[in-house]
Amino acid sequence: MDKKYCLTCFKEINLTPIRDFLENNPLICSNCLSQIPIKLIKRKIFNTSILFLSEYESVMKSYLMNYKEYKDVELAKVFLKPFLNIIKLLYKNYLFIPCPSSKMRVENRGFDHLEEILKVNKINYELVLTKNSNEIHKNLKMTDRFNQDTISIIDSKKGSLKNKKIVLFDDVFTTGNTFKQSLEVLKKENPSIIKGLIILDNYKIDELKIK
Amino acid sequence: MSYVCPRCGNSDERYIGYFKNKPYCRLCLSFQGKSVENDICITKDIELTLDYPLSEKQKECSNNVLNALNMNRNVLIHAVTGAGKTELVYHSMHKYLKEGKKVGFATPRKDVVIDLAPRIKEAFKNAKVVSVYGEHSQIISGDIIVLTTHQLYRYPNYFDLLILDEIDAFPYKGNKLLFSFFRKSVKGNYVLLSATPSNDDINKVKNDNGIIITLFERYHKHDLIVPAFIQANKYKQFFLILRYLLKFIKEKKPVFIFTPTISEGKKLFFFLSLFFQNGSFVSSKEENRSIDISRIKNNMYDYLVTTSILERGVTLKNLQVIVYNAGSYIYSAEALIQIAGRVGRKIDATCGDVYFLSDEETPSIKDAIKTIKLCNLKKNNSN
Repeated sequence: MDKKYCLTCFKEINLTPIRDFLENNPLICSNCLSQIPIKLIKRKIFNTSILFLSEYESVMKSYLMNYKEYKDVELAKVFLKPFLNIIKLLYKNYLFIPCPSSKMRVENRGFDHLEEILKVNKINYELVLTKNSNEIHKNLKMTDRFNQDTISIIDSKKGSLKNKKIVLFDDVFTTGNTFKQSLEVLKKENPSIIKGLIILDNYKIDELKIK
Repeated sequence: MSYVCPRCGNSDERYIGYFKNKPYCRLCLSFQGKSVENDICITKDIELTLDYPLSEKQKECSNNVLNALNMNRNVLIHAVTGAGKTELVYHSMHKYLKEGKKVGFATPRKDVVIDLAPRIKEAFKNAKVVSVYGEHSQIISGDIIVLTTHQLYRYPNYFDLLILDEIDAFPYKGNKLLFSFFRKSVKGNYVLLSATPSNDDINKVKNDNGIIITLFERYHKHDLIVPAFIQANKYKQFFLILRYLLKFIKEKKPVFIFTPTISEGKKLFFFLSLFFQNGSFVSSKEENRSIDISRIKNNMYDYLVTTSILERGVTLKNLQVIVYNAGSYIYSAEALIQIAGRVGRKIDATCGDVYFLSDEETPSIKDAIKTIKLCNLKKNNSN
């Protein structure tokens, strides 16, 4: 059998018998796996129940940095790794819709990071939303993030979501601005139910209250 | 079939990822940023001024280095701690600079870069000396570039003369990625400096058209300070450290207390701070350690509890050293030699004390003390 190496620490993977029995494709070693915090908290925000999988201030932050900024595409497999079974169980007949990134960022990076994560994990998804902003919103102030109203639905997909069960999917939830806008656009399409799924929780409740 | 990374030369399959069926190297991904532009040196007629003249032995070595470089050969300088290794290459650097060639001075440690750049500026007063390290990489071109080994990727095929200090220090030691960046940045020749080169290092240089130059005499011609090994259990070590510290503070001498791990260091510092308030704890995790270091240099602190982060580069007058739990597996013989080499470096303060405290005399401790004695012997025999 071929040797397998951990995707994150590059060391050889030595599986425990249980993992060996359960997993065909281990991807990362037990040590790295244990460092991913498992949060699994449901919050009711914007009248929608949102499931948070993991914590932002952890190793996941650096994985996300390597993935998005340094274009380490292989890491796409890592983010949902410990949660994949739960996700597939909870959202069995749901359609996943990733929050949109601006076209310029996708072009610069060469791939849509959320689409890539869903694709490698073989989750049923559809690109429905689009963002028409050229500014990189990380560099904007908190207040400016709220004032942008640029998310819309792709013309050809209009009406296709009626009476469907959908999951709105994003990587990090900080102010929830992108999420909120996407939610509003999606609600106009009259799906039967909308849920939220966020990988990394960076929710700043206090700052939102001030606003 | 197999893919070789054009940037770092890696071909190990475990570091290769695929994106849209195209291979890419995952090993050197985080080394992204602006590279240097091939600019011309601006400053001409660079002057070399030395505060202290070179000693006879240093002059001899310095000339040997220059001759070797003139013959297009690489050099490894094996000199004891406090021999003035940096000063040995000044004449060679000067010669290259006068010819308008590019000179770099690399070291694995950020703290050493911060310490070294002003010293080099002092020697080459009218040259533009640029220091480049993480979080400090806005300006990357100048006459003399002082940089960490992590920043070498910015200078592909650039340096006519690259000096690499502390080749046996973490994180450069044994790191293939940094080694390949080093090899790729050298256009001309290189000079390696070390107080404790391994046989492997020596052989590598010999095989690479290089020569070894040794210097076993400190600049001030006094012997290296032989550490005192004291056997004591951990509780007794705490007590002994208190006693030595009290003595040194009365004599107004700054003290470094080395601990193997951060958690042990915190514990020890908490204990010591109950008795002596004028101190601090530094480790790689402490962001503002440069403030602490500058405070002890200005006599505002009496002592620093430190991990091995200060084992190299930092020079203080009258410094005394205590190594807590020196028997820890973390301390190799080389590390202990480096730590002992902190003491008695200044020409007006040639003696001092080094204490290795441990509950048993490990091979590393024995080796370190033996090697230091051997260096002293070699020095005295050659006179």
